[in-house]
Amino acid sequence: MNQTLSIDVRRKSIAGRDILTDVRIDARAGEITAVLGVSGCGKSTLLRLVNGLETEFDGRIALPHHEGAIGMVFQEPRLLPWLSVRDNVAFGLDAAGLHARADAVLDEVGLAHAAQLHPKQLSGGMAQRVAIARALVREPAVLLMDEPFSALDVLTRRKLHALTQEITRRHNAATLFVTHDPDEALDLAQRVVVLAPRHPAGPAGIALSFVPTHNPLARHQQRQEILRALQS
Amino acid sequence: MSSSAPAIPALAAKVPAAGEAPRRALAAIVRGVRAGARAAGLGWLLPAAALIVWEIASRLGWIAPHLLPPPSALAHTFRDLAMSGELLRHIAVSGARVGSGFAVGVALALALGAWVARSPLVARLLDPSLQGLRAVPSLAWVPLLLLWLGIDTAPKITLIAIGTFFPTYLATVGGLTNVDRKLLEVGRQLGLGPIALVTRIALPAALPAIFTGVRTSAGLGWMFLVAAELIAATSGLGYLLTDGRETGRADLVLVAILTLAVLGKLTDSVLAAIETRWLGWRDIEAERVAP
Repeated sequence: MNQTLSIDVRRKSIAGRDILTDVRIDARAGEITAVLGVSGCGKSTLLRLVNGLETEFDGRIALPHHEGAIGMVFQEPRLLPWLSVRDNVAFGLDAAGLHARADAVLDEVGLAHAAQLHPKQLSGGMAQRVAIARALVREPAVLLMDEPFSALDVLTRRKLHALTQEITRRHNAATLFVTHDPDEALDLAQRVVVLAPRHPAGPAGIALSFVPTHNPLARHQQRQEILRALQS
Repeated sequence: MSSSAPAIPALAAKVPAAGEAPRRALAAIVRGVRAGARAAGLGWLLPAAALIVWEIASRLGWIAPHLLPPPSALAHTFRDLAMSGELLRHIAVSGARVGSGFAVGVALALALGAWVARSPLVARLLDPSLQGLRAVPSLAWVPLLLLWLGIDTAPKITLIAIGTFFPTYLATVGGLTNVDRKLLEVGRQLGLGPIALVTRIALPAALPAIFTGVRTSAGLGWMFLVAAELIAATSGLGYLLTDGRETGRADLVLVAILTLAVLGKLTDSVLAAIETRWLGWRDIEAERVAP
């Protein structure tokens, strides 16, 4: 059984313009792979290819485990304001015993007490936890996160980083974490991939790919390399 | 009812357990009535003062009673009409006409509006024609309706249906086309089909806008009722208006006007209450109760 999310996008263009070329990423199950890039470089397009919101491209994307089990956490929580937290988590699943599963994942993200609340009563961090629970309830083999914590304060973000690492391990998910923040990528991921255009205004490709270190000095160097790659 | 959770009654009212729905509804109604009474208390001040001045002016002979009868005379007329059952008959007839015309107009508006909003092809095909029809002042249809449908109930209901159609149609199209793309994307990502996308995401999201249209339609329904009944009717509140004018009885006209005011307000209050009940999830300032 293949335990890896294999992304091989040879070319993806939108309206005749190339957005991505030669993007190869192998994201392993149980690990977080951070995808770094400046705004508008095609990070979100990459995620849309993986989760099937966009289907036209040259190349191949192979999912681990069973097909279709992809969880997605967007930049904004995108909760449905007319549903309770529990119904938001269970939304779109029509099987019986669903609420029990919704409660289990809510407990996992630390929101068991908030199942009855409505989105307008949640803080930003709570709302994003609900969005994570909604992604987890389907037991995804692939978890896609599109700058999910960029609107949150530092402390909340740290807590959610820990949560993301924990659920990635526990659910053995291949987590693809898109961010524009080098420190977030280094803190969080087992592998960092930098997406950048090879020449100005051209399509983006993989500019850098490495395993982050915990050695402070080496880490400083990695950070410099990321910044250089992003600026090129 | 809120005594069971005295510390956070607002939260308890908004966030019930599954079995608490009736309790929540009751608490909401109690709160609504209380707030209404407070607001109404102030709102009644001006009309009450006007009534007193009016009565005194009439008694002192400052205004001609046959043109503007005093409130006490109106109360008499009202009581006579109510006791004889005549008023209730007029209300029932008019209510049935508004109700059926409104139901037909709004139902068509919701269906066509949803269709136009969700299908670009249908929008290109249908919307220009409907916009063109909208440009016709609804009362201009009256002669045609009378020619085609006679002077019975049918032309009245049709006129009301035409009049109530457009506000709801516009609101439905607007509401559904303005649904947040990001929410629809969530639905697509979770594997919802095109119909589920409409019923489970687009429609609930558009409900606030649609409700505004429905309330406007309801108000117009009463307006077109009076227009229809003024032209040709042997019963109904519009007939009462005509009757009062033809027999020179200003009191009848005024009683009919007041009854229409009460019925119109009542209709809107009922719709507003449903709106509050269904749309409690909106992230708006709770104190801003729509008048």
